[in-house]
Amino acid sequence: MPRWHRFFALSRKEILDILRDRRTLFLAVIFPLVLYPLLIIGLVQAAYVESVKEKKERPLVAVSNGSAAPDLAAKIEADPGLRSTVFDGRPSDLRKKGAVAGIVIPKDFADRLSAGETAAVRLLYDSADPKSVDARRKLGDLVGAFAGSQLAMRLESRAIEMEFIQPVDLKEVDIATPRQRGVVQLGRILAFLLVVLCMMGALYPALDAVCGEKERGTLETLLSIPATRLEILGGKYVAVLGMSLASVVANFLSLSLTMLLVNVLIRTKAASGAVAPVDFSVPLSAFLLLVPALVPLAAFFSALSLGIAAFARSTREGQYYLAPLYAIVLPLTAAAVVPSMELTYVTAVVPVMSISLFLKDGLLGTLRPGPTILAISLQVVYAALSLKWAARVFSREEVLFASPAAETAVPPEAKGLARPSHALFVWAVTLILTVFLGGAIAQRLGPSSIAASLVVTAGFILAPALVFAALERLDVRRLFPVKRVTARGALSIFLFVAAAFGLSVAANALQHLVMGAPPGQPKPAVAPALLTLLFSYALIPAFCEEVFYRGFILQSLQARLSATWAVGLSAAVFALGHFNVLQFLPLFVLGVLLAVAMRRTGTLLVPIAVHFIYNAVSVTLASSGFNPTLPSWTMAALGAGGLAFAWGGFHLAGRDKSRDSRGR
Amino acid sequence: MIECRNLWKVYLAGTPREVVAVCDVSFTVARGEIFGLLGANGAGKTSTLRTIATILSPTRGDCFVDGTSVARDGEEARRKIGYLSGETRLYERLTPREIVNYFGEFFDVPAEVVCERRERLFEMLGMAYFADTPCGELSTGMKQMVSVVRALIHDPPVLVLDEPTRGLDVFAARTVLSAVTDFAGRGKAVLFSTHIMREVEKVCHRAAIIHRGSLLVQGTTAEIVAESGKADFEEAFFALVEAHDAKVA
Repeated sequence: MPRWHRFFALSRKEILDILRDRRTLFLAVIFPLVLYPLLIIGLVQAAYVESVKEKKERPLVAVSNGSAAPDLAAKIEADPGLRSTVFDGRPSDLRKKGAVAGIVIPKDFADRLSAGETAAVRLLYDSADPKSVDARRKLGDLVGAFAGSQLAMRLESRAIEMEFIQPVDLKEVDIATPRQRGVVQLGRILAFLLVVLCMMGALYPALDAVCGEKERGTLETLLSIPATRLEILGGKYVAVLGMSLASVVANFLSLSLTMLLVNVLIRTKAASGAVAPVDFSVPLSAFLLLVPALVPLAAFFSALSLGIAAFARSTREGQYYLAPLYAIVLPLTAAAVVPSMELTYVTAVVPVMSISLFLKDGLLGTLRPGPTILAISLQVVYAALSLKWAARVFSREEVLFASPAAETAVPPEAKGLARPSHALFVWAVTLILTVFLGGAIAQRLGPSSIAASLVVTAGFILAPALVFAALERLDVRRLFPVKRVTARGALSIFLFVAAAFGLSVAANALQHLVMGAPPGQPKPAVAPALLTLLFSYALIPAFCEEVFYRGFILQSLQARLSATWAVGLSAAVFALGHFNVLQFLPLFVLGVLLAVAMRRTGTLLVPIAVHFIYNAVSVTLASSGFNPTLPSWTMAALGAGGLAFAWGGFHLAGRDKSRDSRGR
Repeated sequence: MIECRNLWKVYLAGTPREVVAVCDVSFTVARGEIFGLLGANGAGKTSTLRTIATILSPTRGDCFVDGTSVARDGEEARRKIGYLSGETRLYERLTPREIVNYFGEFFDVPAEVVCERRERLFEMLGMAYFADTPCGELSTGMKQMVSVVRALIHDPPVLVLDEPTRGLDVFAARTVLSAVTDFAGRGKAVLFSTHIMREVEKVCHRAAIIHRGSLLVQGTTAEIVAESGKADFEEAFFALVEAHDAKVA
């Protein structure tokens, strides 16, 4: 059988299998076709009924001291949209009378008016009660009209024309077409929905095609046919991609048709003057432009969910593994709903977010060609990369056939250390402590005080790890390795410090280039003494953070994960632990550098020294007001220099021999 | 027909979690012969059979199926093998007829040949009456029959059967075993794993005992009994396994 034929047969079987699964089919295609008409038309009708009811409703308002302004009181009483009563001017009495808003007229109201002065009228209302807000608007209009008539009388008595006090008459004209008005409301939601549905359309079929196959025991049957793993993945990929796109098209069509129906409903009301004319229909051109752009996005989600699903042994386990995907994708997608976000050269780089913004801008008609081309071509690249990753996962035997014996075996290297998941749990505890208690402690003890630094870094970061190690009876010597520093190791400290400066300044510049520079921080009015700063910002954090991140976290991770993952993950949690999005990249680079220094020398003393010197120099420079603005080419030079120093430090530090003997 | 040479299978090789599942296993199965692989659960039967069936790749050594190396040319080797195990289940949403057609297509069997073979096998195993019922609605025995037809649709010279009677009732098990004997009679080489000693005594021409990934002994059941010096095959099995455990300890 030629390859393409085999591939075609595989896809056909996958599609047939998915189509026979009524649940998946229902969820992805049928459900949206039924859901939108029911939901949206129901909502529109409910809103209409509510607005009619609101018009018929006459809220009860109260007037205090109405006798002081009989004309105004009579107008309120005579208003057909209101019912009125009296109260003593206090909010408690207003509530007791059951009125939703009240007017308090001062005793000297008539006197002040006749003297040509301003009379202060108080309007009591409850901003948390929509009925009260409505009554407030009606009362405000009545008082405003009354004030207008008083003003007209005053002007007349002094023979001044109305035009005199109104030198400019501003007339606003809305030039948006009814369709644009509709799209502004609909476009953002539609963009958000389409991206989310595109993902869900891929997730469920992928789970079924991979985890379902494992769960039902058919994977081995499938692998016994003369096709390569990649061909099998390809067949599944085509089927999942097809379902994702079918789901998007079904949703898009269903929404568009529903909106046409909404138009009919609204037009009848617009004709009666109830609503401004709005056209909610989505033009066919938008459909033809936007749906093809969703193909690379659907391809990206399909490959990603197939790859993730391959790690799971059952559909339920697969759902756990795919949950983080939701957590990452949903905020990226929500960019379409944020009014100020649009497709630029920077946002075009972010996967998912770029397509979500592209859809929104496409629907609003504000697309720019440059960022659009960048966004779509990059999304194609991301799709290709994710497919490559999925192919790698599929070719790994131990992923498809997890051996139970291999999974439960504790590697000798990991004895006495925390499991990676437990290490990350302890990290999460330190985060929670720092977030909820750190700020309050810093406020009470003084933000730069040694006491605050001790409590936060030693108490909230180091202590949880020590408590966990004691409870779990972990091997403290392996968790916090300390040994004599060799001469080469000591020399490497200086190279690592130089590398840290070069790389973090360059990384900082790079991050600002992408995210925009943050506003400068105001200097504290009273700067603490330099020695205090060195203790609280350099010595204590260097010791506690290194023992925690390069000791507890890195040692636990590297016993079970590959070196790249262990270093990368430990640096990522180190950077995230600082709660500063604008500093993420430089902190991450610093974390990688410190982890490398730890791994190469095998002793915590080296990263502690590097961290201390780096922080101490930074604090000293900052307190002396040293803050030069460097031209951008120096950033590249600093980055290159940093890399060179890192390379030097890496080789000078040598290799930790104790780790070699354990097999890594 | 099947020639295993110093086969090794190590899971997660080179990592701290590595597990040796198959350790230096060698044996041959001739045309028309039924070779039994007897061992307890976790002895390495499934890993050996999966490696021969090219589901897993050998860590060291090789196995030749009708002259084709499974390590170098897995795709070609797979064409010569009919593979069946407790884990090769069926697509529950497809019918037996659809499944058999589908697999026939992959093994490049012309549609009319698939049709003729399928109907003959359905007839022979008495399956015609449920050929169009989705597999999810069939009994365990019926499903295993469908699997047998599925594994045979490309008329492979070699059959690799991993505990083919597991979970079957006595009637279904007997049908499967008589089918296996029948196929061997038609010149196919059958590699058959089980933990039931009676099955080995009943259908296998030769057998091997596998324990902790290593082959302890191979030969006819009479030879194995003679070598152990025990009264019957069951006693021989326990004696050999216990002797091996004592040696390892």
